Amino acid sequence: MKEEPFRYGENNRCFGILTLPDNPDEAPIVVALNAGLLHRSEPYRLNVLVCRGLAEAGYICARIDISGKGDSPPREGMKFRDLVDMDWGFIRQALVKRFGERNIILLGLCSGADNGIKLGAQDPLVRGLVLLDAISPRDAGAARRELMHKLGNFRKVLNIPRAVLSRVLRRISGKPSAESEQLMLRDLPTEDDLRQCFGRIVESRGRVLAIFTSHAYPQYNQAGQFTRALDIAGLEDCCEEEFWPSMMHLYPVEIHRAKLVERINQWGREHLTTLRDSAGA
Amino acid sequence: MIEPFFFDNAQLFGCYHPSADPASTRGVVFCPPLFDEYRRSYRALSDLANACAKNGVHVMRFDFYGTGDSQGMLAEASVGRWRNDIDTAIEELISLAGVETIVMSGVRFGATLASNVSHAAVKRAVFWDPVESGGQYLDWLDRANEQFRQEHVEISRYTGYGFDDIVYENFHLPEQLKEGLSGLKLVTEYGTPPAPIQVITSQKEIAESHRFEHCDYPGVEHDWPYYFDGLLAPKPVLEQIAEKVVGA
Repeated sequence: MKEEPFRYGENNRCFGILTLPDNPDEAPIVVALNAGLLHRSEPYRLNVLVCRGLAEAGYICARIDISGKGDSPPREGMKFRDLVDMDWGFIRQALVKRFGERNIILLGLCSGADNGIKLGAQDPLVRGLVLLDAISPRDAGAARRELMHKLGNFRKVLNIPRAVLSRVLRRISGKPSAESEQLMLRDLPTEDDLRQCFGRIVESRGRVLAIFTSHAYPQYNQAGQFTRALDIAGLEDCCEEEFWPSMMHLYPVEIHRAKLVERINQWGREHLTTLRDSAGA
Repeated sequence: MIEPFFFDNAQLFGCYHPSADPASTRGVVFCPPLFDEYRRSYRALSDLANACAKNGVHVMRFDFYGTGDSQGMLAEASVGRWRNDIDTAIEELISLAGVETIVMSGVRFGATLASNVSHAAVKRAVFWDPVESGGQYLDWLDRANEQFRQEHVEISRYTGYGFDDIVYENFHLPEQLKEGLSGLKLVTEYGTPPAPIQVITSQKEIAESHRFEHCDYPGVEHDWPYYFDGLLAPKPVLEQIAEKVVGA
């Protein structure tokens, strides 16, 4: 494994770090996107460890900074989505120039996962996704499960009158809940993005690993919900989905991070051949 | 434009920000904070380095061994290794830019480490919220870990999915690193010849304590708590650091 910086953008204004496997010939490329406002190696060095692990497994990995994050200069006056599209065009161009057209796997946490889905909806080279706390639609049973779960939780039962009252007050005042407010800060993928992205992944026989933490609760409350709610034929065969409700969004605890890194590496090892050879839709 | 590169036999990652004045012989080496504080201040240090370079100073930033984009794991790190890293970064800046005088700058424990490295080219130091003793810092890290544990207890109550009874450490520090950290203190007379360090503090109380001969409080109060996820980029603090670094 070897690491080196690589440049992209107009006049090479930005840079990222490439982690190269011992044999980079034909290796698929993993691009680790920024998690929220954090720079390319974070949170807590997660992207560094994931990239190095996946490089050991045979992937070329790149961790990058979108404009305005980490070491990348900002782009003023652009919508976030347009900015990400423009940056991605340059990143892709730099990677294709260096390695030729290869299958790409996008990895992202939080807004990084949102960006991964939006880019995957447009870019035919994207054949794999590692999504950490992506937005998940609710399936038919989500509300029932939430209610049952609350009824089984002594503290929640005691809290029901207060929760009902605050919901009524919120509805009257039009003020969003804390969870909704958090989601409003994110530029979430649209329904069309989700359909296009995962439809393409299924058609190209790509692979997805989606892991959800306590941050996704109560929007997401059962492993399998994401795939069921998307209701795209064949997605269940290529998407591995896990729910880790005892963990926090940014994996601040070393033991949790180590588990995540190992899970992603395992997924990478299992699907290297598929992700390398999968053909475009 | 930032020039990223690996140095010290490709073990350390660094960013060189060339001065807008190529003939400048002045440089600054920024020593980043550790652990969560590194995450929270990364962008601020990148912006600060750009501001210094724009104002005629060659800048070197780097990641300590086992942290950030540098190679290795914390399990292999030690205070001795990190002090050598600073020395190597100084030499690298001299060889890259031909600088003759260097200002040493550091944030939190990066400042504490930096104050314990002497080099003939380093003439003075500008530190942002330096940690005064390693023992104090380890206590602080323990409190932060306890805070993490409490947050996970709260989460298990909120979701009702049960609590994992594990060791809640943000980073597991090996014994040799803990020993090294606990033995380190901030050196307040620094450089060749020794001069009092310049401290920029975000705590008014420290500025008023007259603990440091040269200490400025730019009027922005903030702490470095782990339980707050946001990034730190206090403009008045960064402006003041840039001013002190760039100033003659």
